[in-house]
Amino acid sequence: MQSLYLLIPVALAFCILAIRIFIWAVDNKQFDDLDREAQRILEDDND
Amino acid sequence: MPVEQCYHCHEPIPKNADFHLKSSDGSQQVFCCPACLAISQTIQGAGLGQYYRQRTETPPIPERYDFSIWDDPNLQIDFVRREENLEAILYIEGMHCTACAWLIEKHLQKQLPEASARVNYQQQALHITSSNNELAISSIMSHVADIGYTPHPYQADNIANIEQQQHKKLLKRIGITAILMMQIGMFSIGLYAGDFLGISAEYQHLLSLCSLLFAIPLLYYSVLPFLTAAILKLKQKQLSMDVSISIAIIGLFSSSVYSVLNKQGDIYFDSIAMLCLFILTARYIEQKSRSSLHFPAKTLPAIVTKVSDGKLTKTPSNDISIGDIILIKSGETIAFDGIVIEGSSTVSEAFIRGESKPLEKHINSMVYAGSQNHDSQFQLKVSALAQQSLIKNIERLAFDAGQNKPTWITITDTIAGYFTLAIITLASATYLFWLTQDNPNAFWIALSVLVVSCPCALSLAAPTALSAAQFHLRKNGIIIQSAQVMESLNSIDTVLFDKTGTLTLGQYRISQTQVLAHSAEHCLAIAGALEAHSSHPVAQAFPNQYLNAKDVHIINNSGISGIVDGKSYRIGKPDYCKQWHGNIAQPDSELQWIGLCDETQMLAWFAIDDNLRSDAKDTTDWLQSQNLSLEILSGDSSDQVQSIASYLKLPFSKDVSSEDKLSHLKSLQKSHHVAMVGDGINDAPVLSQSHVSITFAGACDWVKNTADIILLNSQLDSIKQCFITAKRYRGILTQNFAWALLYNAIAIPFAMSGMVTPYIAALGMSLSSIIVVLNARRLV
Repeated sequence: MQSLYLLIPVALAFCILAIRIFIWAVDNKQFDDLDREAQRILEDDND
Repeated sequence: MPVEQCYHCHEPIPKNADFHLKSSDGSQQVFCCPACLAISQTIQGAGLGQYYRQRTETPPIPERYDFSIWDDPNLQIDFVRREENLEAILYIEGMHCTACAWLIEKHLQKQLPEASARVNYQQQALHITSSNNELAISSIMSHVADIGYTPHPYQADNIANIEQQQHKKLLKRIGITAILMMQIGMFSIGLYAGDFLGISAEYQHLLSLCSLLFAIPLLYYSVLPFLTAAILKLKQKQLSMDVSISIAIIGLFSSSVYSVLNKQGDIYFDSIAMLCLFILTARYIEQKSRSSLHFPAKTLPAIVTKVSDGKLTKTPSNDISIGDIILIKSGETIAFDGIVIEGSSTVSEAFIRGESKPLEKHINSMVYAGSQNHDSQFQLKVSALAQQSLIKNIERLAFDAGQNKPTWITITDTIAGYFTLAIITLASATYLFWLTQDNPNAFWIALSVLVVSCPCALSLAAPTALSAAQFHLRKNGIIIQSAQVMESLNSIDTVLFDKTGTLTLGQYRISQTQVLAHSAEHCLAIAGALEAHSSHPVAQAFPNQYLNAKDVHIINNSGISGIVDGKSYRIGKPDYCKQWHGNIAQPDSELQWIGLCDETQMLAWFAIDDNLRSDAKDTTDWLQSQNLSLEILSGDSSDQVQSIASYLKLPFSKDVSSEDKLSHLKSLQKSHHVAMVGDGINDAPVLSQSHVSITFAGACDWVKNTADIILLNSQLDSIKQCFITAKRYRGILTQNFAWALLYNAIAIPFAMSGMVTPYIAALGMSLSSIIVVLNARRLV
């Protein structure tokens, strides 16, 4: 069980990383327009 | 054979139009106008024909501008940035579905390979980034216009901007709460597993300490906003659901901290996290659904062609002042309210009226900002600046009506406050009861009671239904000016109608002429010259011709006198002519007669007729089938009132003065709830006295400001829509309240008996409020 002393800090680091990425994504307007982005995948690019 | 429609815009094909295109698979495509043909050619020529298969809505009717003015760097400050790259944001008018967004992006990619184009559909905005710093803005704009959309410089309007900020803030809170909740959940699983399988005290303490560690940022990000909102409410000596939630969270948190430090007892950090997540998610859904109910604001052109001393200059709209003269070209959107002073054209006021049939505009006609010019160019004298224009007023009215809560919504807020107080009392009682029963879970049971109760369903029920109903009506060209109206419409049992302009179109024409002297043309010319000075609806019947009248006097309710070609004339009601000529014979009284005379003799009689609205019969029949009693009150004395009334099978009174209308209404109101439909200034006191007043977009400002409902589309049968929506609104409201009561009546006893843990309680409460919001959306 000693591994917890290593794994919990690792989990903490990942958690902080995930939050940082999420905030970055929101600030970077990744969530601003959910309608357009939902369609983008359906367009066939034959050019 | 199916009716032929334009391949591009789906409008019907005009009779003598001949615009064809052969598509790649050999089939023939037909278009309604050269503009649509050109646009479709551009789209298909660029290999983007799949737009026609992908789209779900049809595009706008195209309009063209000269965009070169936007190449002036001084005008670009707001929406263009040139640093290493060029960045620009344009507002795109006319996007209807995401296929439009696709089309714009692909088209720009082909035309401007060095630039990258991204369309934000929700903001209706186009973001352009280009490595070519010298790229002219006008070229981007004209590429967009080539495929039928109208680009404008982007000016984020404040409401949308603030909303966007709020969405982002809430989204961040939700995301952070979710991530922290998962992490705290991992520790909880460890602790629960430990409870069953055994765990050493050292690791148990470690895991609970770690949960505490992760719960601290949770407290800051997710809980603090609830606390500040609760404190704000308490300062106003009010209670809201934020208060009960805050009490629950503080209780759970402090007891958990106590357990962690004492190394015994339950910890609830995972419950707190879930509780926050559910509530925040419910709020996010509510906020999103509310902001999707805003009616999009009309963008007015930012550049106009100003006419000064016969010279045409392109001028930013901001520099135009009242009294300036501007030129409106065919196809342009009109930028200002004003009066036509030269030229004539047809203009579509679809955005104001919800109906796109073009109206003819001549010299002295009023045109409104936001409407679209069709045929030919004309000059316009600006009478109101953009912010004072009719369309902006309408938008403001609609916005204000959404803001002012009717009294009974304030009442439900108060009830929700009392409800919260009752719940806090109930929770304390539950706690004391279980304490006397020596139940170790007494504390969380009491907190579950706090969480599970859902005052928000009560306080959300009414406002969401109201904004959905308003949105629905606005879509159909109807504006509700007071929120109270949706409720009062349901209790209406009597509807009074004015005649002129309400049941009839208010467009007079001459149906018969009896000429006693001179020629008919000459009499009509004199009449036209005199009537040109009157604003009475009857005056429209007389065409303004080559003669001019001087020394004109208008005598209210009688007629007009004036001098034409050096001779005095009078035109007006028979009585007015009789003042000069004593007892003259008047043609039979079936019709409404206007007499024209000079000082020596009668010259002519004109019978004036006003057409019944085509939807009048339908509307009155429908209203009667709804068990409403109808009545016509007309100030008109002619027998036309009688013939209309007998055709519509309605009781009527004619020749009623404003005072009589008012006293009649007051006596009716002793036993009835009365709605009044009218449009004249003489109806204003009656309209404001009635329980619900309905008027048309064409009514004068004062009437429009006091009326409860404005039918912008000027269709009488919109009244049906109002009554139907009011009924559905009441239905939805009843369902929502019933649901809120039922939910609380079931959930609270369960929670009190200790069968609901705090996070399940939070889930139930959030779902309950989401149900209320979604149910209200059915009204849209």
